[in-house]
Amino acid sequence: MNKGVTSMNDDENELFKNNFKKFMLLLESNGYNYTLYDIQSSNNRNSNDIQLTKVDNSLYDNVIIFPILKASLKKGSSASENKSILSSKNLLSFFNNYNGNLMIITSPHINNADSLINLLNEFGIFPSPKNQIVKDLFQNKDTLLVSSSNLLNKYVYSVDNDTVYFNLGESSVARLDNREQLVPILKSSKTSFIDTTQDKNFEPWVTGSQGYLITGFQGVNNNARLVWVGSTNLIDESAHDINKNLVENLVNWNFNAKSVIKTLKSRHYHANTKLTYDELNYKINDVIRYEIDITEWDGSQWIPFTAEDIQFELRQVDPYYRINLTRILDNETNNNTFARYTTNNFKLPNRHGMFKFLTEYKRNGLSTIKDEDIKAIRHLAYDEYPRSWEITNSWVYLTANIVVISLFITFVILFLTNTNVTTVKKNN
Amino acid sequence: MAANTSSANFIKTSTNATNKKSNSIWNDFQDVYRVSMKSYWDALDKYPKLKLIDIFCLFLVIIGVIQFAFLCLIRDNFPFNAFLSGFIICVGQFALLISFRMQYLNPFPGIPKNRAFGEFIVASLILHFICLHFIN
Repeated sequence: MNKGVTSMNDDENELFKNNFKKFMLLLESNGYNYTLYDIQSSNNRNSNDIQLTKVDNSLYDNVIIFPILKASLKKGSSASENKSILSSKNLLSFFNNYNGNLMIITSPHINNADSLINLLNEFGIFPSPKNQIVKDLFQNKDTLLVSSSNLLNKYVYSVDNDTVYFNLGESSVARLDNREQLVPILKSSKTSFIDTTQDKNFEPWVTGSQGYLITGFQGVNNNARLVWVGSTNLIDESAHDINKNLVENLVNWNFNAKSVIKTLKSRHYHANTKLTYDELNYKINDVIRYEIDITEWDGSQWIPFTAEDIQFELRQVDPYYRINLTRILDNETNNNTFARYTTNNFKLPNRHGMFKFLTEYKRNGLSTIKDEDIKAIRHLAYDEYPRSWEITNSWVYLTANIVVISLFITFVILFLTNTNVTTVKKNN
Repeated sequence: MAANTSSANFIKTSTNATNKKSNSIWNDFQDVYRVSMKSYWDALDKYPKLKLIDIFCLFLVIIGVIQFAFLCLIRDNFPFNAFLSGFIICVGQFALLISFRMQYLNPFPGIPKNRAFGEFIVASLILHFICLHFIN
């Protein structure tokens, strides 16, 4: 069961609860239990009673952080910024070491807490500063409507049929670093801009579709996920109905309940005898078959994962083979929990040494798969080479050998027996 | 004008000189060839078994050339050990035969012809043994 912790900025719990009631219901209906913590209320200032982790266990799987005022957090734990539960160090450790998922919501109306901004910057997400609010004059003046054509990742959320609009109200916008771990989810529209009429000291943070309104990040090694949202309006009561599907998919993706794939088992064996490596070691030029089972979590159960671009590599420093895996659909493997992929038969290279049987599947938005197995491929033993008479080419040379030897024998016999010149002449 | 004609003459004379020179070399060569062939035929008459040795030599050369031509023709040296074995048995047998031939014509001091022939047979057998094993 997933657990969630929510921290919030609102001093008045009731107001907060009213504002995000439907969002909380959405979490509950998706099977998440949550605990609310008010970081900024006076009794939690020292925040010793709030812990994300205890010794080596994480107490929560996911953390949602609502906008936090910079000033309020400083007041609370100015003496020991690093000990605060929301210090970027703690959150990063929660993400890296405990596979914790983070959802960070910032607001364009306040100076957001430094630690959160530092954390986002570390992930390569650079949200716009206070009062830099995205506007789009082609839309309603008060709220920012973004069409579903700006959705960037089909593994997070995609709309099949008609164009749908999402209401982001008043939103910050972020610039992104050039990193492969980043999963841009929603970009701002082409016609959007940042209104700087209120404060003319600032240059606009970004213009048009350069900016991103929602962005994800996925750790390469542990598949932990982070989502940044630049607007509380996305999840609050005002636009809940119009954003419901997006938010639900976003939360499920964020909390590793969507687009999660893993390998169950990979195996390889001699293609003709079905013997595994342990039963009969591989040698050069052997014909091998490789198989891997891949499964996907659909939110309630494991189902077969289908894709046509999964590749297998046989590597010794460089890949000797890179084979597209094809799915097996026979009765033996045709079940509902996983898909079995195979390379079909392939011949090991004419090279001995340590080889890596590797399947690496990294797609933006999907959890990454890396399944590797290192095995030794031996050279031929002295008695495993083909004999000369088995190679047709060498028949010529073999004949030459035999002819020379028989000529030699004839020569010796003639040389010893014949003393007469004439007989020798006759023989030739 | 005068200078031109003199230079032309000079060229003419020089070409004449080279012609004469090459002619004389050709004549010398012909003489040498004639003499050596004559001595060869004399040697054949004198030592009747020499013909047997030379025919064997010729066969070895032909077999070696055939193998090399085959290698060039298929443009692949795949059973390279087999080629080496086949080629080396020709070359080795040829070398052994020539050294026996030298001793047959002019025996080394202290080594009679029969002993030379025996050594030739032993060395050849060793060669065949090695080559058969090398071709696998």
